[in-house]
Amino acid sequence: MGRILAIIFAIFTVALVAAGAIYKSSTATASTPEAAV
Amino acid sequence: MSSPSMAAGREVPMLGRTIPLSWIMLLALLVHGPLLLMQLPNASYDANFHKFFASHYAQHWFDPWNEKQFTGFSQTTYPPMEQQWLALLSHVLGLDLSYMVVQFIAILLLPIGVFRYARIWVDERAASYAAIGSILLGSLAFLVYDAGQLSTTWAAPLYLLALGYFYDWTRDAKVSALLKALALTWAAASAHHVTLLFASVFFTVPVLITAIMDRNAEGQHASTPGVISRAVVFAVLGVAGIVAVLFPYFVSLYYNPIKQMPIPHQSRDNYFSDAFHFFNYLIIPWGALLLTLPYVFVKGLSERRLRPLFLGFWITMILALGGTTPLPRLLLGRAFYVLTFERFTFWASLMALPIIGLMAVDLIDRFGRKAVFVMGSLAALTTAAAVAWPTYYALRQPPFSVQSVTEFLNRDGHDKFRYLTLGFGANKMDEVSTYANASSVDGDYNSARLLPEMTQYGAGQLTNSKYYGSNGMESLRAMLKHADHYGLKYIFVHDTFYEPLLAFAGWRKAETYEHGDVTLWVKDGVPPARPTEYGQKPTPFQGILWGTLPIGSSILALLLVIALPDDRRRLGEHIEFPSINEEPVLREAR
Repeated sequence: MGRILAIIFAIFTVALVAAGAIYKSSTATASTPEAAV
Repeated sequence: MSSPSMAAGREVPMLGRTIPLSWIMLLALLVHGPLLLMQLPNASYDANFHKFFASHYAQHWFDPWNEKQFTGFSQTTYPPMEQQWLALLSHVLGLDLSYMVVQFIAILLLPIGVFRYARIWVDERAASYAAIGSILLGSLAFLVYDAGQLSTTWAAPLYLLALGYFYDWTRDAKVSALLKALALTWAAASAHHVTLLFASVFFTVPVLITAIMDRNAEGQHASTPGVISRAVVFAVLGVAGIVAVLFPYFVSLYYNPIKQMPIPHQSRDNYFSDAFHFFNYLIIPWGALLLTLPYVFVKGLSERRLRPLFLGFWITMILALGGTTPLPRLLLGRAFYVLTFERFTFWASLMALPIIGLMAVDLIDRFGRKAVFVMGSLAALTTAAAVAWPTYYALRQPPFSVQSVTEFLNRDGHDKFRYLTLGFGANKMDEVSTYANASSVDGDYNSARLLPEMTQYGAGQLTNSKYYGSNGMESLRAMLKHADHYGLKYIFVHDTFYEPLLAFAGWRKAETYEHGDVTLWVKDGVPPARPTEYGQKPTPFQGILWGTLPIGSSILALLLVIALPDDRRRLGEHIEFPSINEEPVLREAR
């Protein structure tokens, strides 16, 4: 049961990361050193 | 918190023992002591921000209105606790060394907090491993030595300690536990407001669910409504106390809600979009913890008692991924564009530690010294990589002296006018603000700024304008256009990129410092600076509240923890998992 749930969560996590690759941020990326943290 | 004791008359293999908390704190001293004595955090991004706030408290304890940045702003926009301790210590040690001391106290508190927090779910031995892990977290080293997030590192251990007492209160109804939980929560809120906001959900809910699940464990006979009603009592008193302790903050937020254009931040990007993001936000702060994720997933979902903790961890981990997944944007809405997400990695790591403590027990019992060697090496490498990371990536600018700048501003009445720095970076800008008497139109703490030239352009500090592209340059141009209005006469430049713009806008180069590294540009005919209409000065009463209650809450928490000793029976109590069948190694372990 635990392993199945773990696999489901792992797949869900990977799916979320994959979905994030499609979305483009609406704000420009800053390249300032301060923007690094 | 006392260290666990061993059962009398019983031989326990060394590797099977709980590590005493005093040894763990000694390890914290060994790892972080030398790094702090070398003052490495002084070069972190936010170190000078905290020192700048602290320097104001050191000179104007009961007046949080600071005229040195943004033409004037209220420091009640940022919880003050650790900055006030820094201010107090600075009278003896100076700002730089005081910062190290205050940071070190936070680091020492962390394993204690993690031990207390982990004990909610695991036995003393696993909790002691979790506490060791907390000292060596990549995300801790990242926050301390790279980001300079003093407040986050202070608030987290206080919340973790509070949660341990919150669990005791909801199960046992012990008033002493309630008092300690409340005082620690108020102190944590006084240290960091963002931690308060998210800890109250992601950290607390799993603890509450676990308390409900454990209501009848170990001879307790609490009912679900009883546990929930005690949680409500805690929530009501906690919120009331937080409102009182941070009252001037809420007043400031009420009059000036954060409505400015979002400022870009790399932690909101997809971490897989380039190598720097990948290393800076994933590899460095997570480090060897990435290798433990399969165990955390399987164990966290296999054991019923661990599931609330796992779910809290999982959501926090997804938020820690920033813009890598769409979930944080969907969950947080506009708040997504105000928050930065590197601190979520720290919180997610802390929530994973109790389960990782169990993993360490499993591995050590199975592989003995080999497991200790491998885990120790990986943890040490994780810390080392995070501490060394700023040395190996090229984004941080080389240090330079701002002494000539502050000397100029402090002599011959130059502080009648306002000034601006360009190309200094926020850390150096804060250093100038700390030691110069003059007022700047620029400033570091984004949430405190109200000047329309800054709030309407979606760029960060003016000193970093060029890094924000056209938004940053438009913001700078707007400020230069209104120089006469703000009394902006002096501009110190550490990047020749800005010089053509200044020349075009009517400034002339007047002086050169640091072998040509820094130049002073002056505009003639600018009238002296006058107070601006932006911002609301805290009332004297708010100043007294701000100068007493936040730091008072930390003193109260300390006194209560000392005066009301922990229940050893409860600390030693071990609520067993189905999978653990070994003989107890400690008298208190059952």
